Amino acid sequence: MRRFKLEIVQLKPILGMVNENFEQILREIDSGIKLGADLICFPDTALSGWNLSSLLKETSIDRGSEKWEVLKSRSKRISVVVGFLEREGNNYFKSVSYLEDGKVLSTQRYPFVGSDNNTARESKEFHTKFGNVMLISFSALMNPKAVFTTQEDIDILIVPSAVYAEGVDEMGTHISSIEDFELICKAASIRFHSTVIAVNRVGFEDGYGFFGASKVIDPWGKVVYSLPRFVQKRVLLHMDLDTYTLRVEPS
Amino acid sequence: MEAVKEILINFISDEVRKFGFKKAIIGLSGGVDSSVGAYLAVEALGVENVVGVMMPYKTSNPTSLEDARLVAKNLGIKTVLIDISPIVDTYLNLEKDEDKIRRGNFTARIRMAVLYDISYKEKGLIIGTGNKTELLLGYTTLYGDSACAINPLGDLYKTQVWRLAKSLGVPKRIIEKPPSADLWIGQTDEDELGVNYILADKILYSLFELDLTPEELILRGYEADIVYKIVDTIRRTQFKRVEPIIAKVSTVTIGKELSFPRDWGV
Repeated sequence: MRRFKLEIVQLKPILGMVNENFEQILREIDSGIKLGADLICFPDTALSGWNLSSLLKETSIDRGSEKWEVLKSRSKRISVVVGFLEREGNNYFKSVSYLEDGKVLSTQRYPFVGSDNNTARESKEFHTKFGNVMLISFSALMNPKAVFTTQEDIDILIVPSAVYAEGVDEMGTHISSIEDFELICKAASIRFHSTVIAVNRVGFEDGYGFFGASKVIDPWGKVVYSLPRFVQKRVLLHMDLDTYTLRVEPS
Repeated sequence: MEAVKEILINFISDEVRKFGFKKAIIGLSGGVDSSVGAYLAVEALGVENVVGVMMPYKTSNPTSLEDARLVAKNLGIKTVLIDISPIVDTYLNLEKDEDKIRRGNFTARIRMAVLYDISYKEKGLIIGTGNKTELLLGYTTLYGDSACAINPLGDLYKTQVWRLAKSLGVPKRIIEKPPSADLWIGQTDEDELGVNYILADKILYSLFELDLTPEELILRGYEADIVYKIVDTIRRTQFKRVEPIIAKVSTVTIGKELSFPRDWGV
């Protein structure tokens, strides 16, 4: 399917409230299904919030959980990308998963700080309805130890993100992380010669300001669509991977 | 400063509203920091949702109150004027002491008490206006002027606040006057700190944002006495930047192993 409807949800999760976030995500998924979206993308840590400190146990889900089964079931009607805190035994991971046709096609897991496990830094492409996809959270994209193994061309690089504003310069004119987010995603689009869908969250958590500005970038590094900064918002885009064009569906 | 402005306006808007408040309460001193806080709060919450509280003491410089009024007038915000002299003097007349630090700290804490009372009355959150330079140098009164619900300016050095003030349209005379806590006649920040803000900020920025060591700063031409004085001041005032220490007896201690985020659930 080279033409499809993509829904980007620039979500504002509630910190540490996995049930409320899950309900919000389900509402967005159901709304996406009604609007005829084929693929819906949420940001990194969409289910849990980001600044978790001592809230790991309360906010993590494991693969056997009811929530996970509900998401898998919804993915029979719409492909879903979502970021969450994953628990496996005593280890916690910041994970992003791609679900389609009731199955988990790919999960990228990155150990939560303080967790013992230090595995899974490799990203591989996988086959989806929309072509070859690679899933990499923005923090993984920035990780110097990340390994990208590609056997085939990648059509879409999906980058679920939880990037906050930081790095003001002395004169106060530049915020480095806002500029880096766009720059790194552009570089990735060129590096893999693929369309990048970068979904960044919004909202403030203990002073950390997640700035949104989710975007779609063509394989030549050109930003073809961008959501506003700091605003919770969703958008439905008609994507055409053959012509590398998109059209915004009026809301 | 546009991106900084955007972040801080969204920060105030988000943090005030998610706790169920609409209003911001700001202690307007007539100085640049509180003026910037007021300008940002108005952009974040609307003019009808910002209350400026002016709390002069009998020895306060009259131009401080004039400048606070100028800010309030320019913004069109509601103001509350509380002359704290009788409150402060009731205590100071009982505890006669010429130690100006002691008197200044007490005055700052009375302002805090008044501000929190008005915060309750107006159902608004107190916006703190301490900047990063002051916080790092400990140039604040613990549970006095540093007390607040949220602080939009705490990650900006004083010289960055001046730039932000300019971009927000804060009156020039407020930006250009010598910074002063105005706790006693003739007090200026720079006299008390023993270093001017431009130099202090260069050193602090180099130490923390550029991650240079004091020795590297000295090699770059900064005076060793000033560099080490600043480093020592940061060390000596660390207690002002942290919560009180809890004696550990359990395995899971608040603030150590047990650390919940402030914005949990909101």
